[in-house]
Amino acid sequence: MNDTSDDAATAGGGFDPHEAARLLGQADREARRSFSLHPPLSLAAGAAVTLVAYGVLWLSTRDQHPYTGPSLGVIALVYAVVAVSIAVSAKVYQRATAGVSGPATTQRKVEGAAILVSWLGSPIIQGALQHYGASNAIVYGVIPAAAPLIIVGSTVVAVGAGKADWPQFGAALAVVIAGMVAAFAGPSGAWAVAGIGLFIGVAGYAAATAWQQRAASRI
Amino acid sequence: MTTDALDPVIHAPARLQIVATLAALPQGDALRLTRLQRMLHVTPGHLTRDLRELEDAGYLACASTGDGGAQTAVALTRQGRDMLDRYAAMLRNALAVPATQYRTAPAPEIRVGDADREATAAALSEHFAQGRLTLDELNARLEVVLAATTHGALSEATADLPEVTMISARVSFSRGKRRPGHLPGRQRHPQRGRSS
Repeated sequence: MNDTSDDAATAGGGFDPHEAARLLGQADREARRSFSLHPPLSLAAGAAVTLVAYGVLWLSTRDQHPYTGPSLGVIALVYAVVAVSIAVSAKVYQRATAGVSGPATTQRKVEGAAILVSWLGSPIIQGALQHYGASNAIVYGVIPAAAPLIIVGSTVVAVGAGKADWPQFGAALAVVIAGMVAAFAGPSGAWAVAGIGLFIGVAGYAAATAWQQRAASRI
Repeated sequence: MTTDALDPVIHAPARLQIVATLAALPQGDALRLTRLQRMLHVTPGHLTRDLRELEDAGYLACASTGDGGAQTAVALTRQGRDMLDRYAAMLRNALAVPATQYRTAPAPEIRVGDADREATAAALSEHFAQGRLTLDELNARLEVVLAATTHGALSEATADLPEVTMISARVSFSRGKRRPGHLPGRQRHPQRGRSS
């Protein structure tokens, strides 16, 4: 963006409405992009990475009879992908919210904490089921694949509804439904269904966010 | 196309960029000056001067933040947001719709939409700003305009008025804010005069 603060320009003299519209549109777009917590490109990349990660989980378990769960190597790979995703998200969040303060920022932190806590639901259920002797198909297949989508997805549905963020609400609802379907797709199939569901939800949210950013432009 | 109807406080490149940038934040959120300066690539002196102009007009609020209030943060006020919405609508309409398009009036029985009502309301505001209407007259005519369902009813409100250049301008009355006294133009705090 150019420095337009010279005295003549700032005074507004001869500031053509066409130029004003162009400048307003540009400033608006750049600001929205700069403050965006969910840049569409980053979301789309996340969707693709998620699909690959869940695809690897599915491939590593699809021929198991009886089902024993993903191998340690695959689990390590998935954890690495999750760690990178968290790091990228944290960086995007930090960049978007640097220097920003106020009620909406506080609300976002509370929502983030709620989502983080809901992540604990799945491993706790998984641990309890293992404790009571549930099969590997349940403990290392259906539950870790489907439960996070249902639990975390429901939290995000509530957050989206609370903010009237309908793209987020819709995307999270799609993920919850995918989790419900995954729960009945078998231990190996659950990974495939969960991966496809997450991909659709996140990619759909990316598309909706991109469309919203364009449609929300003031000019 | 005239720029007379556009708010002179916002209708300046640097201030327009400041307002547009702050408007991208949720209502009530503030932005530190250091980041605003980085985003806009302006010098601190110019930024301070433009912020003061906007603050004097009531469009901006400054507050100390950070460790011991060492940092300053700025936020757009509700009035600033409303004014930017109005400015953008006027700009958009002025650019998109040639004024000549409105010179051929539709038949009186043709029904009107929100855009027609808002365009007429904007024209009335402009007539008020130019001294052709008193505040009471403006309020009375705005009531007629906002309740109008046909072009005939709309034209009653403007029958005795000449055309204005910005006749096509739209003013947004969304979110239930009908404030006929709140018109485009500079509004300084009476107690805060500035010398620059």
